[in-house]
Amino acid sequence: MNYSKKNNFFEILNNEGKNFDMIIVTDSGGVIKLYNNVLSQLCNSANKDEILLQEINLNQLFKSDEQTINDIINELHKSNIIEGKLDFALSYNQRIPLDYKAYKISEDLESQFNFIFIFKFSEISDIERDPLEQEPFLRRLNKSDEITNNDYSVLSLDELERLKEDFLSNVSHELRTPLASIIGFTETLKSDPNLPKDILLEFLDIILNEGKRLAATINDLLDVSQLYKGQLTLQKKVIEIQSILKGVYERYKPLANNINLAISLPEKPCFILADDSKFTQAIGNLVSNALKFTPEGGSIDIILKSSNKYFTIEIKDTGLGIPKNEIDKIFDRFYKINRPGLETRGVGLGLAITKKIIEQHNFQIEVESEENKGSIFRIIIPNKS
Amino acid sequence: MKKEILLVEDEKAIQLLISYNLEKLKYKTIIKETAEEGLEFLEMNESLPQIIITDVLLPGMNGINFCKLVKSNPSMSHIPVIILSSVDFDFYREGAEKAGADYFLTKPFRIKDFINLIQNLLS
Repeated sequence: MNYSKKNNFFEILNNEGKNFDMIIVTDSGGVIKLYNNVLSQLCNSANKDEILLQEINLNQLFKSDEQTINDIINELHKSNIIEGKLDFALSYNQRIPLDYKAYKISEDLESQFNFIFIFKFSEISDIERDPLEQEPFLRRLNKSDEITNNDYSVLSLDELERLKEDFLSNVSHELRTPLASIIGFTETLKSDPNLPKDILLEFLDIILNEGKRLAATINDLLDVSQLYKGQLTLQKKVIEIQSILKGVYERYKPLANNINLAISLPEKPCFILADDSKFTQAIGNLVSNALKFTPEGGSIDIILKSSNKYFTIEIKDTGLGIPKNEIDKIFDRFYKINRPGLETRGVGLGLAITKKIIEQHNFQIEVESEENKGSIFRIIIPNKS
Repeated sequence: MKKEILLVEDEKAIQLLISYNLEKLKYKTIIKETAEEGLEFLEMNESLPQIIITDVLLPGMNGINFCKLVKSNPSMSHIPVIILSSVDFDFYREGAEKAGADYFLTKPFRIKDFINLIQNLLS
């Protein structure tokens, strides 16, 4: 039977609608090639790419009492569609039961995308299944024009890129929320010209700050897009690290309410070759993050150390710290640590941008952190003077 | 006694924007930053609010599931729920509708429209 890949693929998704929890696309041998974030969550994978990089086969993750995964794959080579039950092996003695439907979408053994597995959790109530988790994957897979004109093997990397970018809701939130404040407070001011001065100033401050927040989000989005496409050209020149750090300190000092923001610099000037504005942005992101996650009464130190081999910049805080299992993910684009009770502000780009800028300079960035004690972000720069 | 409105919203500026405009109309706003705190308030308090307004993207449980829980509780299901969403995808609207939400407002919204809606619901 000759399969039309695109029709088959989209027919399946259209037929299934939103009525599934997890979707996995494999090659002809059952090696996972595409998946939605439910699988990442089940695997508790530290890195969104981990499952792909390790070329994990379905049989490493799923077990069945009825037939082996290899039997299922063999049957799929013969049939167009099969369905049954599989268990996700969470640990040696812990399994999550799933109902699955598997479809053959290509018979080409060279293709990366031969089978689609669509899973529903067998024992989960409607209310526990978060409707917001499913949408981005569906939306991306339903993107029509650019997909239908391409072969999947060519398309896959782009599509994979989109699959990783689970951010539209987040970006929409970060754009619309400050806009709601700006429009709402302006309208409120306009409707009541006799507002007491203190309230008027408070509202104007909010409008100004929310405007800045909007501008920062837009800048981050433009930056990250350039950085990840490798389109950013650094305008390198000789700069003195002390003057950059002092500038960042002066900028953030007024924002450090009841937080002790201090700076410690060696006397001898430290010169490096760097892009003034981008390097300042990277340091500023680290200080701004430290301020965001350090409670009142805490402290933040901006420290520069100099040796014959390296200059080391440390942004050290006594803030909330990073949970151990999330430390590897914090430089991922759009990754935000869920901190119940704290505002869900930010698109999750600051650290990704910082890392890219630092790496593009051929410098190094590393982080040490302990939850509820604080973090140290360290930039290591070769001393070539 | 002032009419009470429960607002579940984690953004401070939006909290102030809504509470200020509701106070002007002599309504009392009870602000909770998470759905969990909102549920706790509803369960612990003897008198229920006249309206519930909730954001969608909240830390912890999202506003749609919060609405679903409110609407599935017979003692609260009569309270009108307004979903305030910063994301305007059909999927969110459908989710809100399925959860039993009475209104779906997208941010940014006009204060005038918002106030009209509240007044209509309370009249």
